[in-house]
Amino acid sequence: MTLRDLLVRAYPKSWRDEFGPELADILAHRELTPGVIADVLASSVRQHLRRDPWKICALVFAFWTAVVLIALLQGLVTFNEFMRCYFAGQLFLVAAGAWTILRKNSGIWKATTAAVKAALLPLAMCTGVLCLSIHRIALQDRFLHYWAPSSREIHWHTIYWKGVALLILETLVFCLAGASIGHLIGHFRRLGTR
Amino acid sequence: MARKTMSGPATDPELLILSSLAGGPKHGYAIMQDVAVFAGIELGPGTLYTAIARLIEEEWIEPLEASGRQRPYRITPSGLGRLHMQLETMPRLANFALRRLRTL
Repeated sequence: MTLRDLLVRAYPKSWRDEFGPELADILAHRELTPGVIADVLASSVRQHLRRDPWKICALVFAFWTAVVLIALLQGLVTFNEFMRCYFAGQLFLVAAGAWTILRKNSGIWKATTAAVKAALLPLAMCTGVLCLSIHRIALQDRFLHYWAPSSREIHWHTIYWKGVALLILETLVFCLAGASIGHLIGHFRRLGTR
Repeated sequence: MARKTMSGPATDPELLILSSLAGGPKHGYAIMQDVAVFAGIELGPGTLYTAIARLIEEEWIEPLEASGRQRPYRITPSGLGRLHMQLETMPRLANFALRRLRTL
């Protein structure tokens, strides 16, 4: 696979199906200067964000989660504060679901799937930290008060699975909520235009 | 990215593409060459197709039957209206800005 092929593949599939052969043809007749490469890459990012609005929410949510996770690991925030920030960040999932429905006129399940995709990276980051917490005594102390405030008898693997299951479940609720809100707004908009 | 080889007031890729297609249907590569000749601006391939995708979405241009790997595009009546409106605005804006400059 050549650099030209890679540049075309940087675009979303739906875009490639429509314009891919033409762009490939133009790139085949042009020298690939750094300027041309930067231009094509910037354009591919724009198309990803334009065609799949959930990717914007995914990027912002991932960045937000990374910031609060770093703050937690550095001891700048407590675990309770971290959880509150993470839950607040999940409003981006609501936005991802609603935006997908309103922009692309898709169904509730498609929008929920888009929001779930937006949640994957932050979810993986949180799961990673939970996993790390099993082996780090300092982190265990920080999490302890959140998960088992009244007991020192803690089975960390149970806490891990409970934590991951809880995160996945409430993520799904936020995603479905976003898609439903988008569906409702779309419904009222259609009623308004009649 | 629209790279300017000479300065000029109109560097908006969408306006440049509409202006190019006002002269008749063209495919992407021909649009790039045409724009380079009449505006002295070298449109990057990414910029070109980002603008083309948006113009199609707005229904200001439409694709025709493909010839080989390249597909020609044609400006639509609403695209002509849009181009007309934008070009009419430019002299007004230029006159206004020039009047302000003269008062400095």
